[in-house]
Amino acid sequence: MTAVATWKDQLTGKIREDWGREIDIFETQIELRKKGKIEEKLFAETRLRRGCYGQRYDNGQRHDGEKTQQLFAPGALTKGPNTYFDAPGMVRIKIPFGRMTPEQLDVLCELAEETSDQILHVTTRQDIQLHFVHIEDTPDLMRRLAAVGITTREACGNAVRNVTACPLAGVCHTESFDVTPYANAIMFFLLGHDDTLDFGRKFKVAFSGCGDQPCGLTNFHDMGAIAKTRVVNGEVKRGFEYYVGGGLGAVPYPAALFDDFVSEEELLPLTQAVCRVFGRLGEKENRSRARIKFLVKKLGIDEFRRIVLEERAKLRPDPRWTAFLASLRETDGVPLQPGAPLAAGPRPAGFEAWYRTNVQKQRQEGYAVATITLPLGDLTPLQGRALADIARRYSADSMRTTVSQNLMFRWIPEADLPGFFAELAAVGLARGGADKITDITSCPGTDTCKLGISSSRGLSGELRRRLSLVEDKLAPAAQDLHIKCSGCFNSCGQHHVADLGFLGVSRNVNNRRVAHFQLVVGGELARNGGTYGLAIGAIPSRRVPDFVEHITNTFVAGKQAEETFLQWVTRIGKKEVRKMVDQFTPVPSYEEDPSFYSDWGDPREYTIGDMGEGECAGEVVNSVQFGLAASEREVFEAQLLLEEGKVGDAGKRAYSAMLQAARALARQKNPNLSEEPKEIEHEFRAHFFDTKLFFDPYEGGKFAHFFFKAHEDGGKAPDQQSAHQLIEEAQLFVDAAHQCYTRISGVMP
Amino acid sequence: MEAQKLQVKIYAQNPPAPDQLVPVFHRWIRERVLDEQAMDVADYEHVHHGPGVVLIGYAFDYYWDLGEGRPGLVYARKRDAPPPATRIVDAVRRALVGCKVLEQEATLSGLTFRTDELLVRLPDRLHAPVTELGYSAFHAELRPLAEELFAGEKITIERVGGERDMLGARIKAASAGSVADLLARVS
Repeated sequence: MTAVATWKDQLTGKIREDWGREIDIFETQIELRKKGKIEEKLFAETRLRRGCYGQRYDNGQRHDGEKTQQLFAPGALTKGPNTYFDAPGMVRIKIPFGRMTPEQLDVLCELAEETSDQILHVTTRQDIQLHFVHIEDTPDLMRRLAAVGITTREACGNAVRNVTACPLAGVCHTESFDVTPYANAIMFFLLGHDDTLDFGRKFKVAFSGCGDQPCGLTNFHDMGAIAKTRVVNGEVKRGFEYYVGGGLGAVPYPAALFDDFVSEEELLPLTQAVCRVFGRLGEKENRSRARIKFLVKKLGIDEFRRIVLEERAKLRPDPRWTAFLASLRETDGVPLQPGAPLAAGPRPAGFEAWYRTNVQKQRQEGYAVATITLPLGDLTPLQGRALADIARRYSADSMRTTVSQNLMFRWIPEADLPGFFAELAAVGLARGGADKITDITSCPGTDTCKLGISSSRGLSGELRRRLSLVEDKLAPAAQDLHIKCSGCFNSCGQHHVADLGFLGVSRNVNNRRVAHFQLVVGGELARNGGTYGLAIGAIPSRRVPDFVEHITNTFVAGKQAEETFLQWVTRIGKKEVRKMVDQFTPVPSYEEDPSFYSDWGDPREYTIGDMGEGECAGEVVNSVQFGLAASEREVFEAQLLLEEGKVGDAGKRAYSAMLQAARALARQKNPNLSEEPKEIEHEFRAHFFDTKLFFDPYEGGKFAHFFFKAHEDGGKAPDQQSAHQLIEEAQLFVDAAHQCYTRISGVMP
Repeated sequence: MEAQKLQVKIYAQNPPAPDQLVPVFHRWIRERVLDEQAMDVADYEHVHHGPGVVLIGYAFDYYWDLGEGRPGLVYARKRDAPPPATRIVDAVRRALVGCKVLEQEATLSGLTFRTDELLVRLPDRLHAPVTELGYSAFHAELRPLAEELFAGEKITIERVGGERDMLGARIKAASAGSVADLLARVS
């Protein structure tokens, strides 16, 4: 069989010179690492900045349901601290603002077939991820992507991540103008920019065409820009409402308004100045406080703005700041066919239902946008190639990934929709329900993520399966609900802005681990993710589908007129929601129903031992469980106080919950411990913090610091936002206390 | 053969529901049923005609594959391929071993595999270009293997997939013995 020697040879002349050189360097670094000539930490950061991320079990430890197996020989080569070189990993591929050409999708499909497990996964930030990829396959993978204009550079690591934008940009009815060229400009301006190299953590940028819709989700980004126009001297000027310091993660922060109108000429230089300030002043040592949101919070938005503007004045002028403005139309979609209305006549079976949920009319007459609903964000290479062909036939270059883990096709003449639908149906992609209750967003969770606590994909798959059976019979208000699931508190599934958000936690029941999900309600997807919900209570994973059915039915039966789910929850109060949760919290004994002790889609007995090493000491003391239960109750009470507008009391109660949890643990070491806060803090610090017993395997002492800060402030919460945050932190501290208790009591980790 | 990566699919008869494969593959890891390092199980049942349930290994994967709407077992060689001369036969043998073990699974009663048809694909476009020339070379390597495997039966080998799909061929025999019979011929 004849073949060329290497992809590098075959793609000569097709790759940007600088990108090609970067990939060559990376390939060399892999070889050097194999020879032990690059230190593992340096190599880890190097590969992360190339988009090569770790995956669950890459530390060589996997619990098989009965015992932990060692997957690689101890002492074998590593590609980072505690990360084996030969362990399969994930490759994250940046798709700026989600736009993909058919040619790019074809290559992605080839790579999924040749280097991965035959699946392309769309993420909640419009990236594509391939899983189970060997590090040695990545240089050629990168070359093949580079040859079609895609880079993985800075898809991971402490860098500017993929720039996201509303997938309707350019065709939307509510936008001020098309943000696509601005997102494109900032993406490539910041890629590898000197002022982005000193970050202590990642930096995420999002664009939205308007302030009301959810598509851009700018409220929870490190930097968010919302298109806006202003008339200056009789001339319409383009600019942006400019936000900084938003973020989800363990403790979500709403973005702060930096400037209500940044002109298009100032967008890039101002962002450069923001990056420079973040690089200079952002936290470096404490990873859990290193996002820009903490810097903005620490300085205050006014001081942060002053420093940034001072820095802006010092920047050396760069022609790239405005060069892109001369070619704003270059990113415009170009339709293949003239627009035409949908004609009457016979249509394929299922078309009408699909049309109702998955088609939107464009601003441009006669054209439509169609959403391809991808189950859990997954598609096969065969489906991908079919979609590339469909794009070529119907909509030219206008596919976009969405933050709901779907695909959008734009510029389809409405008259062509029946044919378009029929072609989707032929490859199993004509499912309706886009952005409805069955279109569930999920992070990878325990399937592949090292930090996953519970199986968010397993739960999402089960919810999707069950809800699909009844979706046609659901009331419209129920169909409109949004469900989002995260496998842990890091919020990659964006559970804070769902109607029903779930985040994975674990609980110790009957001396065994049981997968749970915290219910989060009160979030709002509209207004770019305008309001964050709060956790109400933890439900055993196996009971979540029944709970969803129950709360959905209760909502439909009890809502008033046009009341939304958020309005309904606000009206009935979290106490009522908690009562519903409480009906589903009992866990049968292992002997009665062992299924509760494994997670969805995984028959192994549930464990979080795969996350890292547990620390075992001491013995099980039931009074600890009692104290922890009390602390959970207090967190909930704090929420109720906040709901009643008693901001100060809510903060104090949240702090009290932390004291309860800390005391419950500390009493194990000092049975004479009083209820004096100072003494509790001292004993907790001495026995659990200084000894690192309380440390989370990945987050270290982060959650203990929440307690120390609350103690220092005496639980003071001067405003609604502070109280909200304190409650979030209290919940996380209590959850961490549960984990700690499980470790020290010797329960299977 | 230059291709480093290859896949062999053997089609199932009386296939179980895909989710029944999940605990089976987990058990294979736990009990180290295979002579290669298996690591994880990935469940893609929700994807139309997708990879189904995957037993992820370091150098190989087994797929309870739902492709073409025809469930079957795929053995996929990803790394550390044997020498070129034995590469395909090794993958065929490992696919058959997987079938044999699955046929013996108590929880999958009734499952058998049809042995008169194999799908062999090469997900390695660098070393197995999707061209007439590429297929011609592939066919030349498949033919003697097919003749040995089906021991005198009339066989056909046809190309599958278009120019953007990975290079593939379908081998069909007029009749064939059991999985064990075929396994004996390639072991």
